[in-house]
Formats: sequence, structure tokens, C-alpha cells
Amino acid sequence: MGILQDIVYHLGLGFSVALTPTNILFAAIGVTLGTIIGALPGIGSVTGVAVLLPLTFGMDPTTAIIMLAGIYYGVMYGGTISSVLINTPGDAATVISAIEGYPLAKAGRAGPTFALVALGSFVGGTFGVLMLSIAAPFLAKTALRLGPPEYFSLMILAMAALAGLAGSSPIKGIIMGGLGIVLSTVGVDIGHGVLRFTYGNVYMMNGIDFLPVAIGMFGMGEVLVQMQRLVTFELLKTKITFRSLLPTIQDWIRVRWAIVRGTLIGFVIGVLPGAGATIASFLSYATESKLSKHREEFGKGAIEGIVGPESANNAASAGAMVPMMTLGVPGSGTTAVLLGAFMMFGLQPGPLLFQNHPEFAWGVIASMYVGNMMLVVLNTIFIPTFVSILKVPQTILMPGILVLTIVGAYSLNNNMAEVWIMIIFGILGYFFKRYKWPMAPLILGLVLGPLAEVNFVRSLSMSQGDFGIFVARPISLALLAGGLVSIFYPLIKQILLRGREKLA
Amino acid sequence: MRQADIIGALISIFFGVFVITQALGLEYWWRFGPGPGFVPLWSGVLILSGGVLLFITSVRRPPDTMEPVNPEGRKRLITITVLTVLAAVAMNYLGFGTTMFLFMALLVGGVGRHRWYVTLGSALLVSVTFYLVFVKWLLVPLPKGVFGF
Repeated sequence: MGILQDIVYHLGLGFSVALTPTNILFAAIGVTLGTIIGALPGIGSVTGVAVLLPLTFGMDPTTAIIMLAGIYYGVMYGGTISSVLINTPGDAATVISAIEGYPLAKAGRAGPTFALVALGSFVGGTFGVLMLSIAAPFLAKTALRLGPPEYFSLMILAMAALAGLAGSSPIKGIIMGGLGIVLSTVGVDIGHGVLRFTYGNVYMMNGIDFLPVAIGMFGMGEVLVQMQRLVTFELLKTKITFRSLLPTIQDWIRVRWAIVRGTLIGFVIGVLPGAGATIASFLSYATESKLSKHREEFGKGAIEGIVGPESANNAASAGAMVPMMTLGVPGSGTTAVLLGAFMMFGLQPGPLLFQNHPEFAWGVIASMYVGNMMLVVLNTIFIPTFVSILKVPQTILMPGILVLTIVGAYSLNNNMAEVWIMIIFGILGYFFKRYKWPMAPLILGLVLGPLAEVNFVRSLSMSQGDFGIFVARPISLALLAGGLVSIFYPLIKQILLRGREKLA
Repeated sequence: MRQADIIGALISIFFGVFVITQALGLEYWWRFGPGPGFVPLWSGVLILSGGVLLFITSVRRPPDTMEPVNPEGRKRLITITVLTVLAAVAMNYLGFGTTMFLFMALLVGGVGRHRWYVTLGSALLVSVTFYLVFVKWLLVPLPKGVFGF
């Protein structure tokens, strides 16, 4: 079968799954929840997916993941609303949107901004999914040939990249990654059949599940941070009517290449480990501010400076699904939580996912086309509805989310033990967030730790204890080198900058 | 931030040493490869060396100031944390519905200082909605308590 027929056949299969009434309904629920979570300041995609995950228990796995993925890419759209109207980003990936979006809204141009952002997001998101449809089967097939040493090195790369690039301090990222791995070793060691760090506690024998940890850190921790600060938001009063959404011809001309560039940047950055939607949006903004013909307007409301980054973060969120689904290695906090959700339903992401559960893998991919279409409608005509949600005070919203974290943690195993773990990590999460210790490496270590260890042990039994196996195989060597570069990247950058100063 | 980083570094060093000592109790090497102690030991080394590095880099940094936590914010933070712990304890005795109603009411009315009808309304809305979704729809056997819900 040719490549094109292959993709068409699989997408056909995917749409036959995604277009059942139940799955359409839950994709709609997912993207709507995503838009709301995106719009709420302080609550981003990790928090949203972690906190709402327990709602999917007992659902059909495909339906559940369709909804959770909908939340993830829905956040990328919704985050714009609060960036533009209250000058406060709803998600880390829309931080940059406030710079141009807020002045535009103040000048009474919120309508066309939303319309063009929705369009750019749609182009970025859809292109991302299209590339995912093309790249996924390829990568999955190649990945089937990877052995344990390559897998181990790949996971090291993912963790190193996240530690090195995601936070402000790579050292803190490394410590958090190590902490995640240590936590993942608690309980029964599958590879050796012994107990580790259980201290005679029956509960500890099952190990520390990553879900209560994620719900605690990203849910309760975030609520604590928001409630401690408690800032009141000034909602910009603009009437958004259907007619005010229409952009001018000049707007169209200004944004068309920004959308194209943002989309391409976004997808590539999204696929790379450690980077993701936030970095993609920053890169796109930097590109537009250099290439624009209206450079003097940047910072004062240049429409291409918001439409480009918004196209980029949507393309990136689709791009981030590529390594997660085909290799089973997530590159960000949100995709790590999604990976955990896959595993919870007994679906191990990776090359075999496409072979053993094609209706699931392709159903989720196809649903992303559908979801992006729904999001365009939601984020243009229904903007006023979402704006009214922004009017609910933080002091009512945050307690509600706190209740959700408690119920959610309980329903993981119908057990209070998970609630206590959630609360402990919630309190820790507050300190992590306040003192800038990145939490994504911890989650990634916790999720990937057991897999990395199994592949590590297998590799060494293949080589009879010789560590050379990790560098003797070229792909493994390249992956490890990539990991080294990304962890030392901040250091390398500093040295290069210093060198340049000396030359000047 | 500098002071906080130094404290964080010391905690990491302490935790790293703890992990290493615990991992040494497990077998490091088996006949055909790493034993159960291998990964924990090296993770401990990673945490310890990260802590040492962070300590050195932070000590050499000039002192700075952080955005201070206002007393009001600190009070809210402690109140919410204590209430959450109390709610988790109370859930087994009072039941999920009752506990969450009280929890919401205390947070919205006490911490958020909203008017009584806003407090009552949001507490009712949240506890009833979650009860319907989780107990009636998802069939999660949440604690029932003395009142039966």
C-alpha cells in the first residue's frame, strides 16, 4: 500500500471512530472545558488536564482521551481571551499574546483580533494535526526497530531537555527530575521482584501513583498560589458583536505570513523534546517583530505579533503529540499527564499503539481535526459567553477547583490515601511554584522512571554489564549527546555570549 | 530568592544523602546487570550533586529580595491549607456531600468574604453538582457519613 493510501485509509478509520455521536459530544465538551480553563487566569493546560482527568473514569478509553486532548488544545485557544481582555495570560503559552493583544483591545479592536487569532489557531492546529497524521505512522514504524538502549537514551534525552530548557534553572530541573525518579522506585520493583522504600507500609507497596502527585502539584498547588496572591482583574469593557469580528483587508494582509511562519515554527518546536507551546510562541513573536513591516507598532498593538504566536502554540500542541504517541516519550508537563492518562486506561503509548490499537490512535487524531473546527466557532461567536465566566470571582472559583482536586484524588482508587498524597504534593507544589522549582521534570521522572529503568536493565543484560552499549549504538549515542547538549545549553549560551563580549 | 535557593539546596543535599543511604541497603549489582539499588543510588547522587551545585552558585550570588508575601495572603494560605486537611479528615465522618458544603461555605464566606447568600448559593451549587456527577453519574463510592450523603 502506498503512503498516501495508507494515511487516507487510517484517517478514514479514525473519522469513523471520531464521528460517532458520543465522541463528537465529548470532543465538544473537551474543547469547551479547554477554552474555559484557558480563559481562567492562572489555570493552564497541565492543571486542567490533571484536575479533570478523574471525570473520565469509566468512560471508553478512546472517548476519554478525545476529551482530554480536547482540553489540551482547547486551552491554547482560550488562553487568548484573558491575555487580550485582562492583560493576564490564561496559560504560559499565551503570555506573549498580552503584549500586543491588550493594546489592540484597548483600541477597540478586540473583535478582529479574536477572529484572526481563531483563524491562525485553526490553521496552526489543523496543519499540526495533518503533520501528525503523516509523521506518526512513519515514526512509529521506525521506532519499532529501536532496542532497549535507544529507548533508555531517548528517555534520558526527554528528561534532560525538559530539565535544561523548561525552567529558569537547569540545576533545579535536574534535582526535580532525580526526585521524580526516586519517587517512581517506591514499591514493587518489577524488574527484580523486590520491594523498595516501602518501610513496611502496605500502601507504599503499590508505589506512588503519578496522578495524585500531578493533581496535587498542578491543582491544589496552583489554587494556593492564586489564593495567596489574590489579585482582582480589571475586565476590559468591550462589546463583541458578530459584526465587530470582521477584520479589515489590511489586517488580512498583515497576518497571512505570520500565520504561515508561526505554524511552521510551532510544529517543529512542538515535536522537539523539552520545548513546547510556550517557547514556540516566544520564537514566533521574536520572528514577527524582526520581519514585520510595522515594527514601530510592536508593543502598541501589532496584530501580527499576536496572530503569529497564537498559530505557533496551536501547531506546537499538535506537534507535542507526535513524540508522545509514537515513542511514548512526552516532552512537556501536559503531555506527561496525558501519557499517564493513556497508561491508566491500559494503553501504552509508543510504536505498538498504532499497530495494536489503530482505532484508538487514529480516532484521537481524527477527533483533533473535528475539535479544531469546533474551537473556531467557540472562539469567535461564543466569546461573550466565555467572557462572562471571567466575571466569577477567584474566591469562588478557586475553592470550587479545590473541591474537584479532593474528589478527583479520592476517585482514583476510592481511597483516602490518594487524597493525602494529593494534599502533601499540593503544599509542596505551592513552594515549588513560589521558589521556581520546575515541576514538569518531576512528573516526567515519575512517569518515565520505571520504563527507563526496565530498558536500562535490559540493555545491560544484553551487553552483559558493559556500559559501552549506550554509546556504541549510533542512534543511542546521538540521543545521549542531544541530552547532554540540552542540559548544558544554558551554560553553553552563557559562555558563547561572554566570548562575543570579549571579541567586541 | 537567594536565601530560598540556599535553603532549597540544603534540603536537596539532605534528601540526596538520605536516598543514597537508603539505596545502599539494596543490592547494587546482580549477576547480569544493575540490581534494585542501582537506579535509586544514582538518582540520590544526582539530587545530592544538584544540591551542592545549587548551593555553590546561590552563595556566590549577591543578596536579593523577593516579592514579599503580604500578611493577608499568608493568613489565607494557612487557612486554606488547614481547612483542606480538616476536610479530608472530616469526610469519613460527615460524608462527602456535607463536608464539601461546609468546606465551600467556609472558603467562600470566611476566606473570600462574600455575602451570605453568595456563600450559601455557591456552596450548595458546588456540593450538589459534584455529588450528582461523582456519586450518581460516575458511581464513585464517596464516604457517606452520619447524614447519609
